[in-house]
Order: sequence, then C-alpha cells, then structure tokens
Amino acid sequence: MKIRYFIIFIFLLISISSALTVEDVEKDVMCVCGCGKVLENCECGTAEKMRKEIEGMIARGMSKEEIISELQATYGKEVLVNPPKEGVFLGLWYYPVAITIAGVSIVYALLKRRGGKWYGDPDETINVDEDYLER
Amino acid sequence: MNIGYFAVFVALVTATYSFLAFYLGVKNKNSKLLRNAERSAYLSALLTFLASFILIYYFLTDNFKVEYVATYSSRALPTFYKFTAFWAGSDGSLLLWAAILAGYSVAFLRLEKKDALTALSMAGIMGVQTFFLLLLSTVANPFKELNFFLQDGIGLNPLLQTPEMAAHPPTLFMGYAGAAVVFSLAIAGVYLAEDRWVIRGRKWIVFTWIWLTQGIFWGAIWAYKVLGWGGYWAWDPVENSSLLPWLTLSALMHSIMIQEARRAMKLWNILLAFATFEFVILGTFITRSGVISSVHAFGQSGLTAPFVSFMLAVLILTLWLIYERGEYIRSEDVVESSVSKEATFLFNNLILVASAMTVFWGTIFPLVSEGLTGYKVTIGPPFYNQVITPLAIALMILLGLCIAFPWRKSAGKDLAKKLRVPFVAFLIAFSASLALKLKIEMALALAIFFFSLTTHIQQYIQDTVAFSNEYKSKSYLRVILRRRRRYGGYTVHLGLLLVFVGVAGSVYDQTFENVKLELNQPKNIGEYTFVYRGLKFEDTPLKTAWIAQVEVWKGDKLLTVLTPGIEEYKTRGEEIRRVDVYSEPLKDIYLIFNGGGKDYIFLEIKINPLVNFIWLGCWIMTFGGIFALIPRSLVSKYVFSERGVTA
Repeated sequence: MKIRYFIIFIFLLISISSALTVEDVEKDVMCVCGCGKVLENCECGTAEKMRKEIEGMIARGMSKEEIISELQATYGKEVLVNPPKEGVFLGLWYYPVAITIAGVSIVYALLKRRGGKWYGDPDETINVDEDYLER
Repeated sequence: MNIGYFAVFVALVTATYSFLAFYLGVKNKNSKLLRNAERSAYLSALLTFLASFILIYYFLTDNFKVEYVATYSSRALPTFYKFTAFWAGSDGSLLLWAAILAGYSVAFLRLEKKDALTALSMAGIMGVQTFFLLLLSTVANPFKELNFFLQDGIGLNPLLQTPEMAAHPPTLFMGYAGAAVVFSLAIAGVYLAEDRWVIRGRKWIVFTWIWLTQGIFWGAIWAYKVLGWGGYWAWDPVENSSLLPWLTLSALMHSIMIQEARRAMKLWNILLAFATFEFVILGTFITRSGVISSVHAFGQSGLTAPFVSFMLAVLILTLWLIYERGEYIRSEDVVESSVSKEATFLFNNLILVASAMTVFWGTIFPLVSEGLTGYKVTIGPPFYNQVITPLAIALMILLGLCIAFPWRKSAGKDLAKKLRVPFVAFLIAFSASLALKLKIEMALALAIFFFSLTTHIQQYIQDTVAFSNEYKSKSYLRVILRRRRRYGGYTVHLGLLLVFVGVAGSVYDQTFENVKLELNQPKNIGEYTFVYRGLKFEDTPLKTAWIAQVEVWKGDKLLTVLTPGIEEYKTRGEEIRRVDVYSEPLKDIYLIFNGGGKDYIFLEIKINPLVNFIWLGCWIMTFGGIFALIPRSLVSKYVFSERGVTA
C-alpha cells in the first residue's frame, strides 16, 4: 500500500512542468542563416532575430508545438531539427517503439520457456581463467 | 614503384595467401599449410608495419611528392602533429586500421593455443586484413605520388592539431580492429561447433570494449574542448557510428556469460558479434566516405562499392553459418524463473540492442528519407534525446536491480529484503535533491544513481561476509581478486553510473550567457565574477592568434585566468576558436571568445555542471575493464593458496 502511494507521489512530482522558455524551443529548430547549426548553438544575427520571435510567441501564450508550427509555416520544414511527424517521416518515430515492443515480446517468450540445465555456479565459472576451463 | 606501396602490395599477397591457407589447412587438416599460413600472417604484419613507418617517415621528412603528405602536412606543422597527420585522412587512417589489425593478428597467434579454433579464427582475421590491404592497394592508396614537387603542403586541419585528436583515432581503431577478432572467433567457433570460442573470446571482447570506450571518450573530450560549442555529444552520424558497436559489444559481454555458464543464447551471441563487426565496418565507411552527411557521395566515393560489398559478404557468411550449424546453435532454455539474474541479462540485452537499433535507424534515416521522398531530413539531437533517454533510465535502474537478483531464481521475500536499503537510498537522494532545489530530472538521475550504487555496495558486503571464513580478515580484498571479472564489471557499472549523472547534470543544469566584457569591468554570472584584462596577439609561422585574458573570481578569491582565443592558420586560411575551460570538481566554466577589441570582448560563458563526472566515469569504466582482464596467474598465490580453494 505504501509503495503504491509512493509511486503516485513520484508520478505527481514528475508531471510538474516548468514554464516554457526560449531554450526549450531553440533546441528543436535550426538557425535559418544557412550555417546548418541548431538554433541553440548559433550566435549570428539571424539566430538572435529568431530568438526574439520565439520570445514574442511565448509572451503571446503559445505552446511549444504552436510556436514550432508557426516557425515551420514561416521558414519551411527545413527549420525543424527533426522531420515532421507525418507521412513517411512517421517511420522514424514509430521504429524505436516497434523495436522495443518486438524485443519485449521476444524476452517474454523466452521467459515463458522455463528450463535450463545447471552446469555449476556461474559466478565461479565466469571468474575462472580460460586455461583452467580448457584443461 | 613507391617502396611504401610495394610493401602494401606484398602484404596484400601474403595476407591473401595466409587467409586461404588457414582455411584450407583446417578443412584438409594439413599442418604444413597451417605452418605456412602462420608464417605468411607474420610476414604480412611485418610489411604492414613497414608501410606505416614509411608513411610516417614521409611526413617527418616533408616529402610533398606524396599526395597524402602534401594534403595533410606542411613544413611549419609541429613534429608531433606531423606524426599524427598519418591518420588525418581517409587513406592513412585505413592504413592505421590495417596496421592495428596486423598487431592483433600477431598477438592472437602468440597468445592462443595452436589448434583448429585459432587457425580458423586467423582465417577470419586475415580475410578482414586482405580487404583493407586491397583498399590500400587500389582506391585508398596513401603512397600515390604527384607529378610535381610542392614546396610546402596544404597543412593539417587546425581542429586536428590537438592531443585529443591524436589519441582518438588510434584508440577507436584498436576497438574497431578488436571487433574483427571477436567476429572471427565467433564464426570459427560456430563453424567448428565449439563452445570454447566464448571462453577464449572473453579477453578479446573485454579488451576491444575497453578501446571502444576509450575511443568514444577521446572523441567526446575533443568535441568538448576543441570544437567549441560547449557540448561533447551531438548525435552526429560519425559519433553515432562509434557508439553502435559499443552498445552491441556491451550486450555481448553480458550474454556470453549465459553461454559460458548455461550453454544458452548461442545464436544471440553470434548475432551480436556479427552486429558489432558490421557496425564497425559501417562506422569506418561513414567516417571515410561522408555518405550520410552528403548523400550524393554515394555515387562519387570509391569506397562505397567495396565497403557495401564487404558488409554484404559478412552478412551472407553469417547467415550461411547459422543455417549450416543450426543443430549446434539450438540453445538450451535458459531461464528457470523470471526473478533471476538470467532474466535481467535478457532485459539488459534488450535495452542495449534496442538502443543500438534506434541509433542506427536515426543515423541512416537521412538516406531512407531521400530515397523515399527526395528530401534529405536532418535528424538532430531531440530525436535521440527523446528515444534514448527512457532506454538509458531503464538501463540504469536495471543496472542496480540485476545485482540484487541471484542466479537461477529468487523468492520474492529475499528480493524485497535485498532491495530495501537501495530503495531507501533512492528516496533519500530524491528528497535531498529536491530540497536542494535541483530540477526534477536531475533529482531522479541522482536517486537512480544512489539506488544502483547501493545494490553494488550491498553485494560487495555480502560477498565479503560470505568469504570471511575462508579468507579471514583479508576477505574484503581477496573476494575482489577472486571474482575479478565480477568486480571488474561492477567497477564498469560504477563508471557508467557516473557518466549517467554527468550527462544528466550537463543536460538539465547547464547555464549560459552571451556577454560583452569591458576592459577591467567585472561582470557577475551566478556565483562567479569575470574580468577582462586585455588581448594578447601572437604571430608564428603556423598561425596568428588573438588571446583574451579573462580573470575568473569566486567571491574575493581569484580562481584562474582563462585565455580563450581566435586562431587563424596561415597555409589553410582557416579561423578557429580555441575555447578555455576551468574545471572545478562539480562545475566547468567554459569560455568561447566571439571577437572584440582592446577595450571590450564578446564572450559566451557556459557553466556546465558535472561534466567531470563523464570523464571520470570513462576512466573508471576503463579501469574496470582492465581489472576484469587480470589473469589468474597474477593473483593465484594470494587468492588460491588456501587449502580447499579450487576455483
């Protein structure tokens, strides 16, 4: 029972979100000056102008997603650090999930196949030198 | 014909002969052929070393008749960097690869027993060596001569003129070439249907893993201290390509223990050895060809066809062997209970391999997207951070949990008892971090760190007590020496936990500010005060440099004078920023000079917390690996002298 309350407490703490800042957004967009850098790593005049724009959008109460959409509408999809979550690009995002689910399924199947002969204490086996084992 | 090229060519001929003779010698049980194969392997190694020395000699003597030397060196280049320029370009680095693999082939012949397993493994090693020597003899010849003689060379990229970059390629290639040995042992073991490959493979796997760790470490520290953007890992395709084999080899390092102790996971281990080697070849290819950063290089690079063919050949060979040796590979079931160390190993492998496959996918996705849509997407850090962070957190928690789980099975009550103290450590660390007003992500990272650390300490105490009858008062030390591999592994875990906390600190707690500093006018940032004291100008035959003098104060104590600068290299006309860093145990003060004049400068100041934990963690991981490699003979007198101790 206590553990359950603790878990709920942890989740509540984790879900506390902080206010949106320019730093939160500039990680996800490229500087459009042509330098090829993520905005957070660029210090040119264009980058400064973009930061001001983002600041203004935050002040207008826009969410991170809305700001990124707005920037995409202004500068094109090349402004995104990652491809849009649409069309074939969805494959990029679904793949890790699919891989993990497939892996978990395999592990689950292996865990169901109970068995295993015992050849000795692995702690000893794996700590014995190969010369000794190959005798 | 250039003498260096001649050496490479004869090395190729002897390596090819050695490869065929080792294989046919085993197949036909012909000992004379095997003896010849061994001699040819030695000769090929000797000639590869000779070719390397010749190239180094050309660099040291400014032989600009050789195109490779003219491209990567100049008269003004310091001697040390003339030496390291050897691996600055594609052709030279492939020669370094071949030279290191030649070293491995000699070591393998000297260290391993003379039997079929060794001979067939050598066939694999020499096969890989043949591939690299073939490249060096054709599309990647570092000894190609110009039709004219240049007075001076173009020079070495200034970003490569650092000790970190001198260390990075050789350490990484030690790992890369080691992966070829591991793979060769694996396929030889499967071909001969011998489980002994995993026992013999242990030291090669750990040794390779140590070097891969070191290679990644030097690459990261170079990115941090030289590239001047304030980070150490940008999820760049070239960086990713060094991480991929590290992930799969880490998985293999764990799963071979199951095969050693339980004769299981045979197929999985072969696949991991294969994946590690394929990733190594892919990494070498990506780095040399620039195929990911410039997709169009596919049609232009002379390395594409041979590398793709080689990777396909390795894939076909592995699949054929798995098919042919299906009976041997069929593993025995491994898990007696879901609450066991074996089960945690399965999860550990799941996380590591899922991470590798995800990083691999992100790395090649620009190619996929261009193939499908004609639009080459950028895959930036947010993708990796989003998908890898949950996996990394799961791995760190598992790292603590797996210690508490015994082999075979455990009663729930015992497990709960073992996890009680770590759980309390988690709670205390989490609450204390929040009380100290750390971000919630940082608090969670620290809590996981202390949870996992506590399970390790607990296990050590338990082992010490369990062996106290046998070892009396020295059991705290002797148990570590007796179970060197286990405690080497635990040390690696500790290093990895430190890296985890270091990464969390630098990601979630970094602060930075762009400032204009007026001469002698203090500027406060956080707990530090910065004072600009003037600009120094240096002019050498190699470069012109403008170096800012910035005092860093904490309260009324002068911590240091930092000297970030801008350097302009004369022969190449390149301008780079030399950052300067002051490290306190828990924080780095990182300065980037963005220009200015005598009376003022523009600086980017970053306060990076816990970065030192990453470097320290890497060294601890390396030490753990080395500790696990200590041979029995070195400690046997101290550990096994007691009567009745047989292990």
